[in-house]
Amino acid sequence: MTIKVSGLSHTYNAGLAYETKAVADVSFDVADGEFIGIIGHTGSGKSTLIQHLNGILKPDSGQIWIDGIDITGKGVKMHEIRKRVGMSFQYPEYQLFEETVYRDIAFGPRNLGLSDAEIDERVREAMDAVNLDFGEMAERSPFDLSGGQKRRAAIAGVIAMRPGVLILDEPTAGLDPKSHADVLSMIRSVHERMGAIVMLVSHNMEDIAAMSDRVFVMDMGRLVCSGTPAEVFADAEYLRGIGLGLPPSTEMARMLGLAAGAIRDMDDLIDAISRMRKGRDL
Amino acid sequence: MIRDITLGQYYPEYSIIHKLDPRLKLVVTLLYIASLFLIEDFYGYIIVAASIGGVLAASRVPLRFVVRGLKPIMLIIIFTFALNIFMTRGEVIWEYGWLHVTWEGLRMAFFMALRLILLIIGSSLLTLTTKPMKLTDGIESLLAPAKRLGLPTHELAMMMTIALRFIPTLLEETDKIMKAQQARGADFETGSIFRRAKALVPILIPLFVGAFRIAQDLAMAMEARCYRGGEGRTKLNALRMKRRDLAAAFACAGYLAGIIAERVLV
Amino acid sequence: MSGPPAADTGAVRAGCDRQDVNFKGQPYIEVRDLVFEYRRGSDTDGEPDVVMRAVDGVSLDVPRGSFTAIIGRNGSGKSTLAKNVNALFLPTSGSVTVDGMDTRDDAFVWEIRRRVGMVFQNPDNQLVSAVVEDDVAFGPENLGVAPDEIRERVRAALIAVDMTEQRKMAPHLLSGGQKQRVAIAGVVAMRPDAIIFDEPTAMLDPEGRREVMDVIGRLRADGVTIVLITHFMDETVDADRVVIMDRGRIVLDGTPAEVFRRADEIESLGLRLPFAVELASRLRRRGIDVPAGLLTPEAVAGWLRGSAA
Repeated sequence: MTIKVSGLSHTYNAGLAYETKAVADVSFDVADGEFIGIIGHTGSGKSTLIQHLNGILKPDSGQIWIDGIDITGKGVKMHEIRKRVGMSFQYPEYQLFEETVYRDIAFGPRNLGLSDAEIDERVREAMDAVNLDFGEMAERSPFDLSGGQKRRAAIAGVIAMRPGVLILDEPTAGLDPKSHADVLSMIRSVHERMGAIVMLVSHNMEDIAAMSDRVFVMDMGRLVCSGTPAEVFADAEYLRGIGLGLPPSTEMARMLGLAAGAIRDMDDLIDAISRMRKGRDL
Repeated sequence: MIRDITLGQYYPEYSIIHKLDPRLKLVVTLLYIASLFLIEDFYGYIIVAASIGGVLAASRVPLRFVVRGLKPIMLIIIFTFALNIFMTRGEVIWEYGWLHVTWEGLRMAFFMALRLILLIIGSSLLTLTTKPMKLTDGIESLLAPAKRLGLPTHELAMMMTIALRFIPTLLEETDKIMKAQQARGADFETGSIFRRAKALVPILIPLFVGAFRIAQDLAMAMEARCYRGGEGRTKLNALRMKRRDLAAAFACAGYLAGIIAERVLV
Repeated sequence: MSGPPAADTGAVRAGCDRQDVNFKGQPYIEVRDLVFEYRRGSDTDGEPDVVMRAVDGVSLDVPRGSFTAIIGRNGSGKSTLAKNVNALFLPTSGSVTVDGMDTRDDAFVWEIRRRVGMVFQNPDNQLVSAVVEDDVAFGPENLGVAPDEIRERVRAALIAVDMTEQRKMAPHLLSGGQKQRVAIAGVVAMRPDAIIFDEPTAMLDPEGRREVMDVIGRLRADGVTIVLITHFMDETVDADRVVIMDRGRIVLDGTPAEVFRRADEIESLGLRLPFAVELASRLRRRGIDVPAGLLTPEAVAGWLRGSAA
C-alpha cells in the first residue's frame, strides 16, 4: 500500500468574502508500512488534508493515488476507497450507535458487504487488536463502557475494515494518562501487526516524536516541512514561529545545550545526559 | 441550500432599523403581515411595495441578500401561482382539455404571488435587522402579560436563547457524525427511500445521545451559575423605548392609515 | 468502581500535619468524611437500585487563597467531589461547608454557588448565550444584580480573561481556549471567592491550554482560591498542594515536592509523573544524584549545569 498526493488544494466558501484556503498545493508520498506523524497549529489544515485521503472531501485541484488508484478520478467507487483507507475522527466514541459493541464494530465490515463469518472473524480480530476482551465486552452496550474503552471500541470499528491506511485524528485527546498510554500502545501494535500505513494527527509532540518514521508539518494550509522527527524537531525556532512546541525531552536537551534534534524521548535524553557528564568527568 | 435561507439570519449593520426596539419591530411586522391581507387592488400593492422598499433602503441590507432568501420558497410561490391561475372561475381566456385560465385567475395568481413575496421580504427584514437574542428578549417582554395566565414566558424565551446558541453546535456535530459513519462505509445517497431512512439511524442515535449530553452538561453549568428560573433575574440589556421608536411607531400608523384609506376610498 | 478497597487504604499524608502551614486560620472549604453514592434504578426488572460509591470517605480542608490541584484517573471520584463542594451534589453522608455554610442547608445553596464558581471540561457545553458578553452576564443576571453594575462586571471579567475584543461574537466561532476563557469570565463576573476547575484544559490544544493556565495563574495572584482538577501533571507543579485520588479516596496529599517524591505509588495508580520529576528519578537510577524536589525542567536543567561545573 502506498499513498501519493500531488498538488492538492481545497478552499472553503470559495468565491465568498470569507473564503479560506484550508489546503494549498500539498504534495507528498508515503511508502508502504510507514508511520507518519502530522503536526500543526489548530486551523493549519491538518483535518482538511486527511479528510481528502478517504474521499470524504473532494479537492478543488490536485490528485491522490491510494495503492496506485486515483481516488480523485471520475467513476471511482467510494466503497473501494473506504475499504483501503480507515479514518478515526476526533472523539470517535461520539459515533457509537449500536446496541452492542459487537454490532457497532461490525457496522463497517457489514457495509462492505462481507459474509457473516467474515464479519465475525474481523470483529474478533479488531477487538483483540484494541485489547477489548471479546467474551466480556462483545455483548455489552457501547454506552456502558468507560471513556477509554469507548474510545478503543470506536477505533476497533475502523480497524475491522482492515484498511491498508489507518488515519487517526487526535486519538488520545481528553483521555487520562493510563487510557492515553493504552491507546498509544494499541496503535503501535496495530501498525506492527497489520503492516498498515498509519497517519497520526496529534498536538502531543512527545507521542509524535516517539512513534513516527516521518513527521509532516502543516502551516496555513501548506505542508511546510517533512522529515524524520530528528530533522523536524532540530529547528525549534521555526516550529515556535508557527505556534508549535518541541517534545519535552527535546526541549530539555536544548536547555542543556545538547544536540536537540537527536533526542526523541526520555531514553535518548538520559543517555545523552549521562554521556555528557561522563565526558566532563574525564 | 441551507446557506440560502435568509429567514432567521441576521445581517450585521448599524442602521436605524437595526437599532429599533425589537418589541416594536415584532408588532410592526405583525401589522404589516395583516395589512397584506387587507389590500386587494393594484394601488394597495404600490403603497406596500413602496413602504417596504423604503424600510429596506433604510436598513442598508443589500437587496440581493433579501432576494436570495426568496429562492428556497420559489417552489411554493410557483405552486400558489399555478393553483390560482387554473382554479379560479371566471372569464376564460385560454383552454386546454380540463385546464382553463381566466382573467380573474391570472389577476388572483399574480396578486397572491406578490403577496407571498412581500410577506417573506417583510418577515425576513425583521430577522435580518434584529439579533436573535434581541428578538427573544422582545418576545419575552411582549408575552409578559400572558405570564399571569400561567404561560411560562421566561422559560420559553430561555429555550429560544439556548436553541439559538446550540443550533450551530448541533449542525457541526451532525456533520462530524455523518463523516465518521461515511468513513465506515455508510451510504446515505443511494438505494430506496426505505434504505435511506434506515441509513439515518447511525446518524440520529449519536446525535440524540450528543444532544442529551449537551443538555446534561448545560443544565449543570447553569445551576452552578445560580440559575433558578426567571424569578428575581435582572437583565444586562433591559429593553427601553427611545424617541426613534416613537417616530417609527408613527410612521407605521401612517402606513396603516394609508392602506385603510386606499381600501375604503378607491 | 466496586469491590473491596485495595490493601493500602486510608490517605497517606505525605508530610504529616503540614496542612495550613502557609495558610493559617479557618479553612475556606471543609470536607468532612464525605461519602457520595450514585443511584441508578435498574432498567430491566425489579432488581434493587445499582449503587455506585464515587466518593468514599474524603476529608479535605482548602484554605482561603490557596491553590489545590486534584489528580486521579477517570472514575476516581475527583469530579464528584468537586460537584459536592458547590452543592450541585449533596453528600450521601458526611458534610461539606463553604466559609462555615453547610451545603445541605437550603438557605445557603445560592450563596455557596455564588462564592464557589465552577468551570467545566467541555468548552462548548457550558455557554448559554449566542453572544459572548450576554453569556458573561448570565450569572450576575441570575443573582439579580442591577443592569449598570452587570455591565461593569462583564467589562472587568472580559478584561481579566483577555476577551474584550470578542465580546460581540458568537461562541461557536471561537477557539476552544477562547470559549473556556469566556466560561471563566462568566464565573469571575459573579465575584466568587473560589473557583473549581474541572479538567478545564482536557479538550484544548496546547495553545488553548496555555491561555487557560495563564488566566488561572492571574486569578490566583488576585487572591482567588483555586481548586484545579487535571490529568496534566505539569499543571500541578506550582500548586500549594497536590491531592491524588483513587477509587473515591484520597491516597496522597501534600506539597508537590512531597507528593511527587512517591514516584512508584503514583505510577502504580496509572498516573504519570510531571516530566521533570520523572526525568530526575530516572537519572537517579542511572547514578546521577539529582536532588528530590526539583519539579520543573528549568530547575533540573539548572542543577545539571551547576553540578557539572
